Amino acid sequence: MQTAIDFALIIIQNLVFQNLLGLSPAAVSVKNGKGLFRLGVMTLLFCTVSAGMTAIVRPLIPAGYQKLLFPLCNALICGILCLIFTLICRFSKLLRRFVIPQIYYAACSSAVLGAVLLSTDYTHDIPVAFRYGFRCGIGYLVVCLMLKMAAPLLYSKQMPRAVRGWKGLLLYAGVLSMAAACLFP
Amino acid sequence: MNHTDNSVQRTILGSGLLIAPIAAFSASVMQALAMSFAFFCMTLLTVLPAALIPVKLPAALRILLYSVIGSLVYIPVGILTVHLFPQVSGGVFIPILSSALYLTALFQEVFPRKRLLKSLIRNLISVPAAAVLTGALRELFGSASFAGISLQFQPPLPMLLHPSGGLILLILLLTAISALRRREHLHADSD
Repeated sequence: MQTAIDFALIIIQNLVFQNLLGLSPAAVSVKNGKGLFRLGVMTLLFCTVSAGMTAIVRPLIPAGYQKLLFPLCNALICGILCLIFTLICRFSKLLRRFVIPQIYYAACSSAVLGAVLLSTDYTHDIPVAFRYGFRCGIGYLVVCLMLKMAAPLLYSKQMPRAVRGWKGLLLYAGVLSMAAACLFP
Repeated sequence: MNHTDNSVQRTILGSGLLIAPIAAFSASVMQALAMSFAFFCMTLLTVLPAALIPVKLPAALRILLYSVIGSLVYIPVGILTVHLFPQVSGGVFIPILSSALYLTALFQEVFPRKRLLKSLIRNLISVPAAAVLTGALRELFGSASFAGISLQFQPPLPMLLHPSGGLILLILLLTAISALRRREHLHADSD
């Protein structure tokens, strides 16, 4: 039952559909849709770890300052994760070329900070925060796959020049978000 | 690529950054003003110290430093925004600005160090102007009011109040502006 609810929430509480979070990195980090899947996977990793780790350090922060200090916690966690992943990727030429740029964009993604802030609104429980972050990340990955399918056309010369590229991609994301809002009001 | 395209792309909005948080949050004039105030302070206080960080440092380390600066700047700016705009609930969008800003500072040529002041002024004017214009149009056509004052007519486009409505409106405005600038440039060339 819980799994079924999680699946429904991936669409209903989607970061992109509800709050348009994480669209800017998706729009500026790719050309012709290449790299969107990698960006989705890296953002999923960052969302899960950052939401869970913030829940772990939460009891150490005075209650009145938590909301103000969560972005700092997220920045430190994402920065350290980014350093670790970059060091790991240095051992492989392929990873260095194809994964490191997506790591940088995922580390700075507003989707990760959004997952942290929304999870702290939602729960104090550490496993639930990890689960919430994972769900947000899966939702982001689903949107990345949807954008990846449309991106070749949106970046092609068949599109009018005025909306070709990231503008077309963001317009398409806006239409998807509007459709989701109509289906799940 | 001509000179006009380059100058547009060197702005935050022209390069596709920060569009989503601005579109999602600016659903009214007051919200747009709160967002603009937070953006103004955060950009000024984040970009100037970030310019002191050596470019030679590894990118991962720069991300860590930029993000720490951005989130430290958010603390006073967040408190000040709540005090100045108590009727506006920032939700997750005001802190999201800090995250979006260090993405801007790190990867784009929006704030080139040689022309830092010029690009800073250009962005500090263009983003709040776009936010306020979008907020005013969304409030007018989405909820038939202006700056909180009801205008007593049926709102023709209530979907504009949804974040996706704001995003589509902002993209269409940006597209219209770049098309106008391109046409102006072509006319100047032909003259």
